[in-house]
Amino acid sequence: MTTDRPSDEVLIRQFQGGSASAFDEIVRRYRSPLFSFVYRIIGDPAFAEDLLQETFIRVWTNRDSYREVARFSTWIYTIAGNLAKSELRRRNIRRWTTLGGASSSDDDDRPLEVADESADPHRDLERRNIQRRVNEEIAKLPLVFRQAVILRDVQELSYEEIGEILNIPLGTVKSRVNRGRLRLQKRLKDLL
Amino acid sequence: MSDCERFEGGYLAWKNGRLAEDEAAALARHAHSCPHCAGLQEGSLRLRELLKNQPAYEPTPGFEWRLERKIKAVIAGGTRERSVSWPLLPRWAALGAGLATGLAVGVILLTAPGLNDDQPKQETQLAAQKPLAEGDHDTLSAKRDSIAVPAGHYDAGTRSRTVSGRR
Repeated sequence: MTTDRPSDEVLIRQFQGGSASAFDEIVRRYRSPLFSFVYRIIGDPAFAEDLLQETFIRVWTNRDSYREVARFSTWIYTIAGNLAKSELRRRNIRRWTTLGGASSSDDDDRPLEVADESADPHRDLERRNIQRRVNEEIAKLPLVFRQAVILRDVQELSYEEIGEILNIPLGTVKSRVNRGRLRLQKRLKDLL
Repeated sequence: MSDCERFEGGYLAWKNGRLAEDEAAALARHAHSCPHCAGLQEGSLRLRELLKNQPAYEPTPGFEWRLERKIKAVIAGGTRERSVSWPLLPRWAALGAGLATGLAVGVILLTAPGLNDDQPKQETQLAAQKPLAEGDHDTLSAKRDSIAVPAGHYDAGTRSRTVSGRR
């Protein structure tokens, strides 16, 4: 990361001014974190990708509606989060088991993990097993806790930002993060 | 960064005695004044470390190209594709639709008075059914393949096997 890397807010301003390359950079920066976020919420990689596309399309078509009263990351995460919630509501899916789960027999349901270049296959296998277990337990959390924990502990957003994205008070964010963590802690105590 | 976030980030180092004195004192003061942080357990912060190390997932290769194509369609105006592509039906609904179609065909075949005489009618009936969309789910495609009987390949043996598969 270079020191003169433009901030997200600079990029969106350039994009609003007509720079397509600024939009390309926004896509490059956010495609992985947003995909990880949406995928962990809805649990289906194909639909997560569709929703990711829709998120960027909305950024494109509604670029002029963004105002710098909020951070750009808050804005784009809000779009992605709302799309994911709507999709879950539409499908009436409250919990899912395909994310990293052994129950899935369809290759398309396998998570799209970043390839590991480690030369140690045993460590790699152990790491993957841990990841799968963590993902399985995250998937079992109620949506309100799942969103909060993913945004705070996986995506590492601030409490304030999470409150803006989820449109809930700061105290509620902390409470949901805590309660989500406690549930995960009980289920993953052998890993901690 | 808020005091709570600073506390969470420094908690484990603090507990393990790896913080500088002034930083440790700041964390201790915060723990006394903040009910949220005072209630944090070491386990939950260890969990946080575990979650922080979860991998970032990537969309499939070619994502940017597909996105560009969709955006061009949006710009062209009026040709915007559905943002949520196939399959819209849950798998179970697609399977149910396939089975229902198979049952309908089976009933038609069973009630047909003569095989050869009705063959053109059956083909018409098959053709008249709602066509399967391109790129349908593999299960649905497999059902379609087993249902559709090409002209000239129809015989009693095939029919009985097809029908029995639907019972």
